[in-house]
Amino acid sequence: MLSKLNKFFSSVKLAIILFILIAAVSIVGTIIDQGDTISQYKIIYGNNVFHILYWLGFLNIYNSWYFIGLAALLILTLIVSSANRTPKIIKEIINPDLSFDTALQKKRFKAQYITLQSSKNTEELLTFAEKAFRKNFGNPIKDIRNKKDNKTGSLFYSKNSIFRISPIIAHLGALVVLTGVILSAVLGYRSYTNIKVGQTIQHSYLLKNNKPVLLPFKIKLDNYVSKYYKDGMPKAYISTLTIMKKHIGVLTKTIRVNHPLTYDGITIYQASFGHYKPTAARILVLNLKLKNKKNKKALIYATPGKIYNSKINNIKFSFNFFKKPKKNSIPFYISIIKNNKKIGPPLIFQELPYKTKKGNMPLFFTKYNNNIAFIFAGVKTYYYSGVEITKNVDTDIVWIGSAILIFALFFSFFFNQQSLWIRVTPSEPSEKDKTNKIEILAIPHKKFASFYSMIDKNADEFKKNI
Amino acid sequence: MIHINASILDGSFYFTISFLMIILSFLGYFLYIFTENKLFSMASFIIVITAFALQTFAFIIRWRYSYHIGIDLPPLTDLYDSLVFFAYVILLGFILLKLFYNFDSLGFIMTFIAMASMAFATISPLATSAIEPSIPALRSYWLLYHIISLFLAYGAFAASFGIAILFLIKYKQIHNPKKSKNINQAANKANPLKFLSILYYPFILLYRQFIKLSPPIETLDEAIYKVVVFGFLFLSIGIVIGAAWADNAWGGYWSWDPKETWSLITWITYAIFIHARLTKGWNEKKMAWIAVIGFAVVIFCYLGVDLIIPGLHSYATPGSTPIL
Repeated sequence: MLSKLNKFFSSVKLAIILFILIAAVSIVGTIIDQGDTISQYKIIYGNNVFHILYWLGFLNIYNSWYFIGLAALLILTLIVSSANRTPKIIKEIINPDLSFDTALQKKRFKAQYITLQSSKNTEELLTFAEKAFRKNFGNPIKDIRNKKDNKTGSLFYSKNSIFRISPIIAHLGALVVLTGVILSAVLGYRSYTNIKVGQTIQHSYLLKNNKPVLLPFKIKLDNYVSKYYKDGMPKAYISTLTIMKKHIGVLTKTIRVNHPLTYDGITIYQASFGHYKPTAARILVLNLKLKNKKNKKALIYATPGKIYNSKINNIKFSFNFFKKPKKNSIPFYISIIKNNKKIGPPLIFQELPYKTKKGNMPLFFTKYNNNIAFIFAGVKTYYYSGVEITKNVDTDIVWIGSAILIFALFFSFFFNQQSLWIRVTPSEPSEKDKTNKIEILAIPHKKFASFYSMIDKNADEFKKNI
Repeated sequence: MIHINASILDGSFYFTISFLMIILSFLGYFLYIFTENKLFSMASFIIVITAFALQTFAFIIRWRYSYHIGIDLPPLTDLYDSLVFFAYVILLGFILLKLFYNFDSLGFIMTFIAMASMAFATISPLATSAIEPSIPALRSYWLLYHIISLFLAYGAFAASFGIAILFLIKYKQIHNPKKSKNINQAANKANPLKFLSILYYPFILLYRQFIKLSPPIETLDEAIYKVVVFGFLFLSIGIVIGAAWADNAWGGYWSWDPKETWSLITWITYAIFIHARLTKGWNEKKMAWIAVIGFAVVIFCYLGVDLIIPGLHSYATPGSTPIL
């Protein structure tokens, strides 16, 4: 039973089937958008289709039980097949089976087998053979000559046999990568948060399910700047962050795309930016009676509906929107309030041309009793910087595994094992001519036409000499 | 109206000239296939080398221009750049293959792929040669290595596709001699003067000439394998560099972005190719088919994903800005 399972899991066919299934599931994941919200899915697919897709796990397919199951099976195949093949291959490298006959029987399907006859003696023939094959095979690793009768002898060449280990190392590299992936999936997290300029945060939200994560430190956004090219394309998004521990700033650094900040094993990346919906208007209050410039104006951030003190003659005001604004008219107004009561009609803003260094700008202006002027100076916006906060555990393992994989692939692709036997035996005594039989057996690791033509070329050179 | 990308300033003029040269070399290979005159193939090969040299020059011009106007990035970021670079690596791959193997008939297929890529780059309204500022995420030294290794892989896969086509044509002739004999007869019977046969006669002739002019089937098999493993190696390198870059820029080495996923699917396809060699009962014909299917996957990963599925890598969709 165990040996059957063992055989099943170390078969290349199973690996190929798993590869195909993983690819097929991955394709589904690229057709159906992953990680949208439920309401978005319902809009795209409709209620019924949404439920079917949800039930099939297609909406979060890379975390579905069957995708993880397939990956786990592939890892199991990888481990079992490596465990089965490694000892055998290491044994073959350290202690190769030099027997001519077993090699001929075993590897017949890819061997090049040439037999020749010659009247020259064994010693001479082997010397010629060495000469002919030296260029491509170097020196023989085993040279057996029967010194007693001087009639039989053989040469064994092996090239690149050490590189037979490289496919094993490549699979090991893949296992190391997958180990790193599993570790970072289990121990690490990827989260996201928006920070307002000036705000300090200590929570972030997981990308996969929006659950909050408590960070081991606080992050304050000191400043945020977007830089643009002349044509308006964004060039850089730059946030200045301060890491706070126990209310003390321990590190201040700017981050931008491709240049994150790492502190205490946690990395903070610039991910997006934006501003919140404005909540207050900037109202400039001018005292028209005062000639002294110092106290002439004050800036008030006015939330619609709330009452503010203008600090001029104890006049209070509120900033409001018309419920039904007229077309092409300014949709907001000022109400003057005394003793908690609105006085008079609403103060309607007028649009006045106004020249600035940057060009003409409209100025929204209104006044009350020639005492106070109100200027609408835009809205107050809070910029935020969207940052991704990631705890990447053991990514180094992934990189080490990748490096092992790539180097091993290089050696297993471009350094192929080749073995060559040359055996000289006297012909059967019954034969009339007392000649020697020469057998050349060449076995490549991969069936390459160039290998066979190289052997043919060397054999031809050898033939010329005998 | 069709706008042709040909500006001396940004180097696209030289690319357009090289496009015309590739058309010329394709015609040369076409004539070679039908006349079997070595002169045509030699002339075409010389034109291919010249076009390659001209493209190298154009890349230098374009690179310098990109720095001159303050973009400060190698010109490898948009659809035009990538199509031109694709044609460039295909020419490079063909030149190298031609030096190792005697592959005149492959020239027909390779120049055709390079020509298609250049035509798309030069004429398509989706591809403009103007060097535009890039989004912040691309502003990184990873960009160059990521793209070069992946395009070397794409070029290799294109070459393996071409060789696999030659292999399959040849394989069919060897294993189905009766059928191909029929085709030969059909070719002989076909009278070019009759309307219908005018349509299919050239294809039959092309097929017959391919069989005649291709290297032996064993050589083709070896070449497919060697070219695929070269591509596989660079695909692996490119994916790892991309992952390292993503880790640096986005905060995770793998996000299951469609392009990432399709690159994994491509990797899996060629991993199957490599493992299939070890499987009993999978002959060379199946391997060649995987190489053909693999190239279709590559093309989808390269262009299909960008044109059809939006994601972090959508450089090919005009006006789209990926997240940062």
